[in-house]
Amino acid sequence: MDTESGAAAPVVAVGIRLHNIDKSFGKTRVLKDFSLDVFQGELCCLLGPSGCGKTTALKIIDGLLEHEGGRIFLGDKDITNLPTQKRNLGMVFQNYALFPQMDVFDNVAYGLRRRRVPNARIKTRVHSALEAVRLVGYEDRRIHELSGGQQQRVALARALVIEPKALLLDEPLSNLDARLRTDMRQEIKRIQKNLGITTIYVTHDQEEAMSIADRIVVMNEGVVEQIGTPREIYENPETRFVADFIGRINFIPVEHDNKNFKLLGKEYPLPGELVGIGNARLICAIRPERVQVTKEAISRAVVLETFYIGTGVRYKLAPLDYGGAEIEAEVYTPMIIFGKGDEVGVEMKSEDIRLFPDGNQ
Amino acid sequence: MINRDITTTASNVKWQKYFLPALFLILLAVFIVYPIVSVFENSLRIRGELGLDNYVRMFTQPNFFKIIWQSSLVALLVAAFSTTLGLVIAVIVLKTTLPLRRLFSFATIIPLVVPGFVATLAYIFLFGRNGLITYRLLGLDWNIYNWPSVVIVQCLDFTAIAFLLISAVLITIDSQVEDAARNLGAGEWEVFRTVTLPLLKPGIIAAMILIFMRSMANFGTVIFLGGPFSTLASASYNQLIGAYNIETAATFNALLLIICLIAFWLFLRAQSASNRIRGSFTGATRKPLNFSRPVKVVMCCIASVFAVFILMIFISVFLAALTRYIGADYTFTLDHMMRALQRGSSGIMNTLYFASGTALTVSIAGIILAYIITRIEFRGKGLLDSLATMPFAIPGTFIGVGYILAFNQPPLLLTGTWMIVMAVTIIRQVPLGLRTGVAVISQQDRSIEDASSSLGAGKLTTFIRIVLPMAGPAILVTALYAFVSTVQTLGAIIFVITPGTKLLSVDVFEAVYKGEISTAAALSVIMLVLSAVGMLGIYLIQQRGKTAKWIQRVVLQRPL
Amino acid sequence: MQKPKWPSMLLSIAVLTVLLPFAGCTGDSGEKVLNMYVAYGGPEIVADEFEKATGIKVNFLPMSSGEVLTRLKAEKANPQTDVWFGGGSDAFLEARNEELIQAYKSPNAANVDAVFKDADGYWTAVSIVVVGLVVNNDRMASKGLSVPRTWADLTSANFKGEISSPDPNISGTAYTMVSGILQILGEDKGWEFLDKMFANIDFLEKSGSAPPSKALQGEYCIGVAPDPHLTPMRNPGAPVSAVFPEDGVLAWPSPVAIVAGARNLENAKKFVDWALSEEGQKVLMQASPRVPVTNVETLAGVPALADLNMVGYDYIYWGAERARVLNEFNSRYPQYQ
Repeated sequence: MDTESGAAAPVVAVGIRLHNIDKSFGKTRVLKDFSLDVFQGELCCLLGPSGCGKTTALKIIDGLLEHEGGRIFLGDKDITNLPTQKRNLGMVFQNYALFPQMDVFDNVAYGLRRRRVPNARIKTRVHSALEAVRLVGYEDRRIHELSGGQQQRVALARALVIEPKALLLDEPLSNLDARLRTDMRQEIKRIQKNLGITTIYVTHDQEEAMSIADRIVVMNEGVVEQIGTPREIYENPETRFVADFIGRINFIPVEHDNKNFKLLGKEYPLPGELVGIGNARLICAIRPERVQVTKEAISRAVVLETFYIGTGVRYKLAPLDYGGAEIEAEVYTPMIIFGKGDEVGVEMKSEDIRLFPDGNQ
Repeated sequence: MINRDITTTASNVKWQKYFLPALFLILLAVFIVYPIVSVFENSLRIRGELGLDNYVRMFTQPNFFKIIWQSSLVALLVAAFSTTLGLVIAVIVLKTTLPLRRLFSFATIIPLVVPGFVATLAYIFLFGRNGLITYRLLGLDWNIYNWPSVVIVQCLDFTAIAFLLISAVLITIDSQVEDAARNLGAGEWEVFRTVTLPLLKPGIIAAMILIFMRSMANFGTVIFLGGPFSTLASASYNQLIGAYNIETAATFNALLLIICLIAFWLFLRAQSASNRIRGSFTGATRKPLNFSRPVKVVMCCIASVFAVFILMIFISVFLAALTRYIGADYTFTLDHMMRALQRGSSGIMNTLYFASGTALTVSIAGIILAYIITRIEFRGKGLLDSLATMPFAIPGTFIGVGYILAFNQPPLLLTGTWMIVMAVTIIRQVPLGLRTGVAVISQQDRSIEDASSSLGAGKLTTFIRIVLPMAGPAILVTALYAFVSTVQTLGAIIFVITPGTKLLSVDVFEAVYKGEISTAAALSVIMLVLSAVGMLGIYLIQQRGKTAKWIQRVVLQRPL
Repeated sequence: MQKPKWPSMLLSIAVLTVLLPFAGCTGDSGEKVLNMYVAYGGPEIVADEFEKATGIKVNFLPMSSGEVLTRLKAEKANPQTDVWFGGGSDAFLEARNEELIQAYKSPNAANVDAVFKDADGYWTAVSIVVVGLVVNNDRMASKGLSVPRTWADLTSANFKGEISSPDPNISGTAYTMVSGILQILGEDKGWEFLDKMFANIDFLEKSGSAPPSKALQGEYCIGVAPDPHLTPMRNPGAPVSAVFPEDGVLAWPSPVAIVAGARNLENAKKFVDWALSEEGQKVLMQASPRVPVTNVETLAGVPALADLNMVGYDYIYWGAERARVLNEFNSRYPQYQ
């Protein structure tokens, strides 16, 4: 039943659910009432800065860490009290955690041997797994003879060969150089799509998450900031943290009078849910590529610096009559390129402006 | 004119470059090679005439051959048991959450500060024909003067070596690999068997070989507990001290050395092989192994029995030192301690001076030698390195005979003086000084020294101003290790001391020899205090040191 | 060129030289100095007292008697010392054969029994080492045994497994015992006697101090020992006592001799005289409590010569017969191989 590119037939995918997980290390609460719902067959990224709890969550799902309170479901099954050994989840560790004294074949075969799979079957399955990660012929190599990328692929093969119910990846590419990273992540995506296996992928690299995830879970300090598709996260960040963490963004404090807000001299109406917000301060966020740079506009700014970025131009602008803030604007395939010292017009559409409370984040 | 300057400078440099290595080479040749040659040469003499008779006798006379056979068998048994015990205890201490962990690790390393032969007295006291436990408690008429007793007591002594070596490796194992195994379906025991244990192989092999060597070289335990049982080391001791039959003693020792050198060679090969398969585990996290109940119980039992044995012996020693007459009269008294301090006072002072002198010389010579070997290229480097490491493999009895033979005539008439004793203690510790020095210097960033040179500083200046200060704490630690080691040293010393050059360890040996358990115990307590002071010093320095925190972890058992 | 190592080497050498009381041993003739190799207990006391008595400073080097022999052989062409004091008589016999020592008949030697000195004056005993038994009274009592008084008592089957003895192949003490019994009883009866006695002995210790030490620890009831009185003296409170067999005490002499070619000959002679004089013998008793060869007063616990039933042990004869006797011993008692 081997397909041409899979380790085995596509698995029956199951969803993974976490309900109200709490985890503390000593006095530090790393996960706070954390809940997560990963759909079957999707590649879900846990994205966030170091210490946000993403790896902890992953390890809890795999049963490698104890937790206080909450439940874990694999499909319909409550696996909260099931030991790691029985969860049948494939895990790729950050440092690959390959067994150094074994060769590639034995590493990949390890899980199969623990399941008492007969030797002949082991051979075929290992071969298929290595085929999937394009490492056929490396069976006798010792681990320390392999490059980083090759080790990573062995780790992946080892995790997939056991036909796990889901795949867990803990920053699998962080030890590789940039070029290899971009290549490998596409590989992983391709394999995942082929198998249709539910995958949770932990990373701190938002570009990586954006490029491969079906959905992203943005985490910060043990809580979920936002869950959504890459597009949703990027275009509609729901919290200031998400807005800041993903992509480049401008933050500009604004004044408001509970009905309208004033941004760089121009007035916009407050969005419905923020009307009557009282004394709370607000800050607006807008993506650089949404900042339109023209010759004429109501708001004016001076170009501080111009960066040519290949795909376009990035300006560092100092708005006039505003004092203080600098904003970035990106213009793709510009018709004119302004230089340092030029005075330009700045325009922003109200649907491109997000507003967040200021002061708490 | 320029050309001339360059050539003179070049030849100056060359002369300077070879001076120190040559000096060391000569010293090592005199104090290592020459005695070795003397012993072999003497073994080829029978009543003054050259001949292979001694060797022929050794391999054909049944009781001679028996000695060789027995020594190897005992050494193998001791190596196997001690390593297993050390492994079990290391795993308990570092990879479980069993409640008595600290006790086990403490008990296991007690033999490092209590001289082994004192333990034999305590062992006799507890389990002998008149033993507290065997005779007076259980009424058994048990003869302990046989080889199993030797094996047991040697195991009690040497398990510490296995424990420390295996712990050092265990600490570097990152639990991630074990987690990976769990994730792939391995039960706790399987994780241990298929992942942890193979990773421990280098430590296990090193321990087995080292303990084998130590057991082969050990004569004290065999003499006191062996009864009719002899080993190469004890036979050579008896031939020399008892019968003063130098030629036979030399022959036994020659064979002993060959065996130990082969073992040492295997050890070095195993080390280099394991260095190649090093995992890149830095900043390892350690997670306990959650063994099943029966496994935990078995491990606990083994460790407990072992710990109880050691503690019983340890406590007996203290009791013997502090009560009137252990076994008969348990009134507390400081008499023995006072008498030991008096009687052993010259021994104590001598020990302190020898130990300090050795420590000082070895740590400084060691770092200089290490610097020469790591940083300077010259012909004969490998030879110098091997030569300086060799004393590690040479048994004490061999050095004893060798030094007596080599240095009992002019121009190097050192026997009977303190100088020969000093030479013995220094040579014993040179490998330690060298290896630590090499470890320290290879860790140091070469570019700092290169910067110093490019700024015009000569090699000597660079050494004094850059290398030494950076190596400071390590040198200090080496000095302290050498100090403690010298305090404990008995082996070779016993042959070269004279009744005048008293050393504490020799005083203890003599007291044990005469069965004077109270005196022996009191002197041991003093020795223990000296050693403990040294160890404390090491601990305090390593508290602040960057390297090797594992002693702290292992001894004091920080929580996992 | 400065080597950083030297300062510390010099320092340690200096420190040690100041604090360790040893010097090399060469001295010029005519000076008030005497060089000596010593294999005797308490040499500092001996040296001190001799200096007080005669004003001659003694430079002594302690070592085992086997070592002295080796040294003297090595130094034959250029003797480094004047006196050899203490050790096994067999070593002195060999030294005489190799012409390493010279004859000197001290006037004080007249007090010493002919058995304890060389006929031609090559060496004279200053004390004797006695072969006896150390007995552990507690263990005897718990086994219901009574203390042996004679060698003959040791053949009783009651003592089976309770006697510890050194190996005559290695230990002078044990060899003296074996050959002594052969001398007392004659060879035929002697070997019969030894058959019975060694039937009680499980194994042979490799060193002379092991048997008394085992008796002290209560591991065995009886230990054959040289100078058995030393054990109870050094361990007051221990349940041990010394037995000097009433049917014949065996002993060998602990001699002093002048080295051939000694540079300080006159001083050497003075030392021999002093050692055999009453004052000297008193000092020696303090230095190392042994049975003296003269009738000087002994310390408590040390028997006087007159109290012992001495056998005139012929060490010269038995020394020569050693190989034959040991051969016979080893073939009769193969259980010890």
